[in-house]
Amino acid sequence: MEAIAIVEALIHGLLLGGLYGVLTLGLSLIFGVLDIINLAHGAFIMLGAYVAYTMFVFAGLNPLVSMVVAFPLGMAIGLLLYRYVVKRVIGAPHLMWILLFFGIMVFMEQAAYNIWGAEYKGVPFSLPTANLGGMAIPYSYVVGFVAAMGMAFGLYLLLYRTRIGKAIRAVAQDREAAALMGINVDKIMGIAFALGIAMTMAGACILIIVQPSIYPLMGHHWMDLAFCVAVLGGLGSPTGALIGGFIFGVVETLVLRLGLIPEAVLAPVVPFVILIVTLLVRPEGLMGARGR
Amino acid sequence: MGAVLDKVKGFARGAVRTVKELTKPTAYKGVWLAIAALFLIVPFVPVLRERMIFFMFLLKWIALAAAFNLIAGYTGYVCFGFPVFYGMGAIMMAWAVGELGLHPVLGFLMAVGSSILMALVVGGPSLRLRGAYFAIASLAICLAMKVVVAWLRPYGIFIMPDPRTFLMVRNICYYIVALTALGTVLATYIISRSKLGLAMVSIREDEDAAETRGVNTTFYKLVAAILCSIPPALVGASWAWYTTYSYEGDFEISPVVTTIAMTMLGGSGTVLGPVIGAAILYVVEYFLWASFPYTYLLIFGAIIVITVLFVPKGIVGLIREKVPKARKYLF
Repeated sequence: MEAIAIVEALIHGLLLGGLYGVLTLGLSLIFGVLDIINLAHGAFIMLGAYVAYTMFVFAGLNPLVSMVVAFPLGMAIGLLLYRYVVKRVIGAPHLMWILLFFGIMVFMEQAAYNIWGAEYKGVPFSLPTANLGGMAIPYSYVVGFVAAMGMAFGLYLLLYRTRIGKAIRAVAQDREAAALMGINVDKIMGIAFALGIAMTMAGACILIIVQPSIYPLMGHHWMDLAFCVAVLGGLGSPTGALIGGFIFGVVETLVLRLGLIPEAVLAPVVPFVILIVTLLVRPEGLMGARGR
Repeated sequence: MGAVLDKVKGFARGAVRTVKELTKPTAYKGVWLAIAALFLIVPFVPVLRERMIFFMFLLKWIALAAAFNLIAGYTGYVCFGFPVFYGMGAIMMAWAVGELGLHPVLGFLMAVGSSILMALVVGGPSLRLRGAYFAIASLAICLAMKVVVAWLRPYGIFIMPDPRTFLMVRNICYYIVALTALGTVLATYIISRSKLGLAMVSIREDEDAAETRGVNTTFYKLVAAILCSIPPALVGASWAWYTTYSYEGDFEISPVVTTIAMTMLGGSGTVLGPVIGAAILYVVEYFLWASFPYTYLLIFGAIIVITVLFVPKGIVGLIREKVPKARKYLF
């Protein structure tokens, strides 16, 4: 194996990792603030991808531009969902919200199946590949990475530079103490949930530039990946999600490119192995503060 | 080891007492026993025999929901990788009978053994994890097993059926599934009235408090994991034998959703809840599937969401709350 191939794999891994991290931000934000895992995460990625696809077909919009549509749509869906459904299961036993989100996931997937059909859809949006000293760097990876980092930076600004961000962080730290300090916890949780959904759907628009295959069950694959990244970085920590994304992207690309596993069929096992090992060695993840 | 033996002895004494109580005839017990007997005579009554596969599926779901209830309803640990036990049972049976050519009894033993081994893998280290983390870890183990099986046997394993014994195999499989379902419900009844059940419920309510009061939580969690792994293995093994085929799709994660939905609809943490939930949801699914092939899962998802929002305690829990006297009949 040549050194240049390893460097190429590293760069690809880092570029993809940024995107993985951003796809996980929503999951981590929702867990950190609401203390529930959004098991329908994959379904929202699917929905975001279909939004981009529909915008492309009907308006000829570039997927990156349809982020402008997907984000507010996600906010609206998230707020409604929180107000009428999710609010009722906060603080309930695990079984309740696991089942609830699974119900939502099945509902969304089947709705997508009935609306858009079961066949694979794609956005014919191809970018050239740059040649960088013998290394092939697809522009789509670079564009995706830049857009993803832009979104992560936006979240950073929101969380650390605004009053509402401060309130979100306070609720994540201690719900009761935040309520005692006069924060409307219910409202903040609603905003955090909606934000998580919106970021997931907008992230999906970036995703289909890099990986343009859209079908109703596409969410499963990305949800497994997001779980792995989230646990690796520490559930509930957006910073951890980004770092976890980078590590996961690099490890996955290296393992696949360097042929460290016997057969390609086994490739999907990589995230699960990383996940299980992380949970056994350091359940709180790399950046997780709370020991569990 | 001695302490464990004492616990087993104590449990056995309690179990005998509970079963003795159960056999004392009263009217409402008679109703449940009649329903149980109905399932057992299905292969002999022509009208019912024609719908045998319907009953077999129903009993399969009852067995799965009751087994899932043992760990999720009583200890509160949502074992998301539950299908791994079913899949292990099915694939080991197919491997033993179809590839190694062993006797089916050995196949069943291997199925149960490998499933218990899987329970130790799932349960041993990862039950240290709490709540959501355990759910994710068990999910990951199940999905990883699915990939491994797809790699080892990409086309699944086929059991060559023998036309002379095929109908007999069908009846045997039916009885194994039926007895597994009834046995799991009976086991849940016995456990719910034993110290073991109390220990499991104490873990569900407050694990730290239980540990402080001297409940060996690790031991009881492991027992719950092993108990819940046996029925799915038996059902999976008989399914593989009956359908003569097993592949990585047996590790598919989606059945666990149906199982959770059944448990929750009936009432988790109760003996009859999963049975009632399984019966209702399976019958609903059976008819929805036939008349709305494209939208039945949509309706199914909506039913799940509505259950969680409006009947969080399940049917049995709701009736118990409204009519406290019903506790005697709906345990």
